[in-house]
Amino acid sequence: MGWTRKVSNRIAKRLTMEGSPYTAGQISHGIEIFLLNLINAAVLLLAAWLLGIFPETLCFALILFLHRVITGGVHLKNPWTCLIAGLLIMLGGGYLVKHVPLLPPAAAYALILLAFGTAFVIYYRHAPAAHSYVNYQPSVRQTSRKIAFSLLGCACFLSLVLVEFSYRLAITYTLAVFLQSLLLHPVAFRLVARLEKTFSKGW
Amino acid sequence: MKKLVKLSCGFFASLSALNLAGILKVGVFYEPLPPEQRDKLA
Repeated sequence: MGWTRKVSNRIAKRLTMEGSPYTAGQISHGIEIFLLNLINAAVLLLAAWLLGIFPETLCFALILFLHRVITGGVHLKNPWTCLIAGLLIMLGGGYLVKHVPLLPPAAAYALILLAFGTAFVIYYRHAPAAHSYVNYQPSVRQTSRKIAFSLLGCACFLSLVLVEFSYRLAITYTLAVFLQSLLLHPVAFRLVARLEKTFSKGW
Repeated sequence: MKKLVKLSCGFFASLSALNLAGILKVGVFYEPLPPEQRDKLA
């Protein structure tokens, strides 16, 4: 049992009252989700601040999170590896955004269109990602797809507009959406499964 | 205090329900075990 589950089970037991409409399992599940997001966000922001990439990482993480909440994506089996992978991805994104070279507008537009084109194809084929434990209702899947494509359209439009006004923000938006689409691709799922297998053997 | 506990329980249970329904996939890079399996293990 993971440490986050132990902690959330303990808190849920204390919170659950007699006659409550919710089970301890429901409350514990909600607490664990909340706890993981809180810890990930706190560690990420602290690390970003220490590395001097706070605003870039914050913007990158917020955009990626917004898209991820709707489409889901690859997941890890352990909260610690999840924390490390999340940190590496977000900090890497923030670092890339900070050090991205200034491209001529035509090249920037081409890059944005290429990234969003790829993201659109991946979203079309694989969004939203399946849950590890439960099956979503088809109506929910359809609604998620509609929201995901609306978000993608808005993100593409905003990125193209922002090239002239805030180049770095345009690249942040593009990179975050592109990365989230890659995390939806079956190759990412296979890669993560293989890595987890390798690490579990090694440890 | 009782009201606060009730509110917190409602918040966490809603978070869990939204996640399981697929409306908000809030489990960043790790998906916790769903309530039914937790209740079974407990």
